[in-house]
Formats: sequence, structure tokens, C-alpha cells
Amino acid sequence: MAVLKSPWKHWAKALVMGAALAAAPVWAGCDDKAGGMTARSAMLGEAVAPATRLTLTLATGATEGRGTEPLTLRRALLRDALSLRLVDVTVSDAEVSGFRVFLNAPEGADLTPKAPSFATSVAFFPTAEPGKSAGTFVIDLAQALEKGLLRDDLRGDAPVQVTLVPIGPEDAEIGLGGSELVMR
Amino acid sequence: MNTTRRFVLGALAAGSALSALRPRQARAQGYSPAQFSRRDVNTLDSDDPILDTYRTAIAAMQALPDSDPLSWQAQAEIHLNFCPHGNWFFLPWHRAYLDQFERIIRHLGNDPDWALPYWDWTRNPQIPAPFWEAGSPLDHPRNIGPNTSMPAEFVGEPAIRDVMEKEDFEDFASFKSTLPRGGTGGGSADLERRPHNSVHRTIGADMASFLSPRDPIFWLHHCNIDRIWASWNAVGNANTADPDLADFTFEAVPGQFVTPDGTPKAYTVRDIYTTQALQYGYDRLEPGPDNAGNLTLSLRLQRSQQEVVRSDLTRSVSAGGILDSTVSLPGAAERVADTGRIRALSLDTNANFAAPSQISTARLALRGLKAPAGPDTAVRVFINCDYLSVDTPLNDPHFVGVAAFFVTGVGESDHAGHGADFVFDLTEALDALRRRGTPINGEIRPQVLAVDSAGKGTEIAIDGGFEITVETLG
Repeated sequence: MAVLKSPWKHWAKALVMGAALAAAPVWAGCDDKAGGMTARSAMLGEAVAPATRLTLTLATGATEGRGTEPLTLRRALLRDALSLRLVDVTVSDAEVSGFRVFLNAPEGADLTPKAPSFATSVAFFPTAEPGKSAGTFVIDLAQALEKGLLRDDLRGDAPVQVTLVPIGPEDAEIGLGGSELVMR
Repeated sequence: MNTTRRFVLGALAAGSALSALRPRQARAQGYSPAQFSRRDVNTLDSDDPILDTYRTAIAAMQALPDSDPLSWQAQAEIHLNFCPHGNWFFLPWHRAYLDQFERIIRHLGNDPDWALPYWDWTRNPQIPAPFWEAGSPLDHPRNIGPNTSMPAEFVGEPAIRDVMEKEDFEDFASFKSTLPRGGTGGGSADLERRPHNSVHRTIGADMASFLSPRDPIFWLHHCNIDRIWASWNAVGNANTADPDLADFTFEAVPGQFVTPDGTPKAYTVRDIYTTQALQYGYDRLEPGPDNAGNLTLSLRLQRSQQEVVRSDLTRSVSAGGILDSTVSLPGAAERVADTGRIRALSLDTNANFAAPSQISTARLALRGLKAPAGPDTAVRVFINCDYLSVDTPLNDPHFVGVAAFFVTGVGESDHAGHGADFVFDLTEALDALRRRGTPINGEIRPQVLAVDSAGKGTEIAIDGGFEITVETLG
């Protein structure tokens, strides 16, 4: 067997994580409905039907022929560059101007840009049409994780979870055609 | 069994550390080394010659028939029909677009020294007053008023800081795509999806569509995006050398870029990677990031020791059997168990995780694994489990991970004569055993078994071995 001069970099460069993107929208995830709001949880890679709150649990391995494993905060932080690619984001309302991204938001947390779990935001251009792709967006998870280092409520063995919240009417919904982790 | 051990000292500092150590200028440089200096519009009076020329040229362009490639409408339709968004062609295409527009303005405004001003919406988040003067060519229907600010969430200093902190071109400039439009790949990164998109969206009307160049503020908005790109380069970041972008040419085709005499003009991306190549500069650039206090970065810089222990193994077992081999790692396994768990969250400001002086993590590579081919076959990996069987649950503390087989079967070889390779993170399993009080005693025994979709054990073979890598930082 060949000696790996730098297995770490060798491995990292080769690894593009995440399940294969769904070619057609086969909705996945589980719902939690309350007061007209829909919170939906799903795993990385799945197409997800629109919801007012959409939480992705990140996992690694499927495209590398390995079994899917949750990506923990500690493992994620070891990466030099780690991005979450949100493919074909859809929204229910043309008034939705974009969405916010939160990292491991605690249950019931205030999901505003002032929240400790706030990672970044996305604006749509041109104006999104309901039900159609508003674009594919890349979230710099490495940067979000470094911001998360200042939080007291995170544990290294917790799975990385990303919550998407539309910016617009309160009942506006956001969905995904797919998602994947990209590491360079 | 043949076990080898080696240490790699300092080798891992290469990749990320080198990029982090790139000489960065700690402050912005105001510079005008080029023939044309693009200036902040908020430093210009309403009757400044720069704005006067802009008004004159716009009026001239609006007076031209739409069929004229220099007309206001034809220039806007270039964007409608060709603009790339959501991929790494976004920045260079718009740089070329602004360059040919700027030359047209010089020509029609009869001002050979003219340079496009920029609108720094971070410092001045409202559309500048000259663009609201009734009857002026700079005025345009918008969904907001002169007192509306661009949202700080998208254009404020923290957002720009996030953008300027990027070290990789794609993270900064949006992801690679095979084509400017209609290609595969892509994805809008921070600069595009945050300040760029938000300003378009907030202004609304034409600005929220691909005919946005009909609003004169469009050009100043994109000039600021271009300025941030120039700033990012100026603090030491390099544009991609990938020929798929660098060698790409926006062809001289009817309806796209033109010279001031209306002739189609081509731009090759590599030729416009710097503003100097197009003979312009900015009167002010954005500062680079302040890396002080970045624990993660400092840990990466200190990633200095790697220990690799390999156990060569060629063996096959019948259905339900276990492939295993002991790998001796005195000290290292315990070090991983003690510190790996707190690797991610080890700021001394976090009361729960005091920062250790050294932190170790481990991973296991399985080389040359062969099992019955097919998506129904999975391998389960454990370590140091004395009671392991196909019935051992996956939440057992000895559990490491699972992997699926797709192409390689027992007794078969791929074209290179190998089976499949898999890599697992061992850190959490080692930590789980530590927390459970199970001693590792310097020896890790990887165990591999194969099961079908019904949970029944299948045969499995290996022609390669186990390789454990322990990495120590600090």
C-alpha cells in the first residue's frame, strides 16, 4: 500500500460529502405544525417541501461509498473549508426577499439576525417566483462554525444543524430541491 | 501481520496554514496607479463634472434607437440576455460589462478622462441625492424613496467583513459552473447573494429584474461590487487559476459587449483579473480581515504532528465473521480520547471547555475491503468490542461507523487489483469508550463485519490493511 504523504489533505480534497441530489422533488422530512407555522426537519441531500422553518441535519459519507454519519460540530470544525450548497431554493410568496441561516438554533430561539445562532443571510435576485427555483446558494459553514465558537450552548458531539427561515410574510415558506456539503 | 509506524512532523502545516500565512495588508490602500480613478459618488457634489458627464451620456444613449448597440435599452438588454449569476462568471462578466459601458460614456459624454463612480452602500446606505433629482437622467422609477437605507444585515460592515474574510476564490466569487448560463454547478456565495442581491431587491422595480441596468444606479452599484473584488485581491487573495474560468472568453457576439464604435468586443477572463489591466483603479479599497484571536486558525497553524500506524492484513472470513487486527498506539489513543472531544469547542471563554495545550484526533482507513457487491451490503466498523456480533447495536459505544458496498465483491478485484477503501473518524468512538470507563491500553483493535439488508452476516475479505492516523495540534 502506498504511503500517504499527507493523508489529511489527500482525503479532504477528494471528499465531497452529502447524498445525491434528488432529480425530482420527492419530499422528505418530518413536520411539526403549530399555529399555522410548519417546522420541517430533514437530512442533508433530501428535497424538502416548503415550510416556515426548515432544519437540515448534516451528515457525511454517502457519495463516497460510506454510510451516512452525522457531521458533528467538532468534526466540522476540523475542516479547512466547508460549504453547504442549497440547491434550487423555493419560496411560497413573491414577497419573500431572501432567507436567514441559523446554526444549531436552540429550541424556541428567537430567529433574528441578533440571535447567537445567526450565521448569515441570503437575498434573492431577481425577485423569486413562488414555486420556482430562486437560485442555488452557498453557505460558508466554516465561517459560521468559527462564529459559533463563542457560544456556550454548543457541544462538540452535537450534529451540525442548519435552519432556514424566510424573510418576508410570517407564514411564508421555504423549500429545497436538494443540498450537499462541499469541502476543498 | 506487518505493522509500521511513522511520524510526519510539520508536514500538515502546508495547505491551510500557507494560505493563512499569505501576506495580508492590514489596512486598505488608497491607490490610483491607473489611468482612470473610480471615485466614491458620495464625495462628489451634484454638479461635479463626473456626474455631469454621466447625465449627458445617459441622455444621449436614451435618445438613440433601441437597435443601436450603444443605446440605453440595448446596453440593458446585454444584461438581460447574457448576464451570469450564481456562479464564478459573475464577477469577471460584470467587470467586462462595466468596462465597455465606461468607454461608451467617455465617448458619448465627450470626456476622455471619465471614470465610473461607485456607490459604497456600506458607508452611505441611501441612494445618493443626485439620483433622485426630478427630470434628471439619473432619476428612475424605484420602489423606495430617498430616505430608504439598504439593509445593514446585508450591506453593513459585518457583512462586508464576512466577505473579505474569504480565502478561496469560489467562496468569495461564487461557485464554479461549466458555463456562464445554463451550465452545471454554481451557487451564489456571500458577495453575490448578500450585498449584491439585496441592493437589487431593496431598490425594486427594474433593479429587481435582469433589466436592472435601465436604472442608472445599477452601474454604480456594480462598480462597488467590483471595488470589493479589487479590495479582496489587494489584501493578498488570488483569483482562481482554473483554466475553465481564467481562459474563458466572453466572445465578441452581436448583442453583447461593444466598443464605442459599436463593434462587438471580446474579453478573456485572465486579461481582466486585475483592474490595472483595464487601466483603472479605485480611490479607496476595503481593509483585509483582522485574524487576531481566531482560535481555529491558530490551531490550524499549529497542526504540526501526525502519527500513522498501519497494519497490513490479507484475510477472508465466512458469513458473519469478523475481520480484525490490533494496532498498537501507546499514548496516542488515550490522548485522542482525552482531548479529541473538546477539539471543536475549546475556547477558554467557554467555561465548559478549557483549552488544552494539545489536541489530538484520529481516523481509521480500511484499505482493500471486499464484500458481496450490491447496495444491500454494508460493513459495520467497531473497535475493541469483546462481544461483537451482527446483533451488536449501532449505538454501542464501540461502534465507529457503517459503509455501503456498491461495486467490489469478495474474490473480485477492480482494475487496479484493490478492493474498496473507507475512512472513518475514530475520535468519537475513542471518547465514548473513555467516558464509559473502558480502557484502551494503547491498543486499538478495528473490527469489521458485513451484513445484508436483513441484518444477516455475509462473507468479507480484505487485501490491504488498517491504517490509523493520529493528528496532534498545539
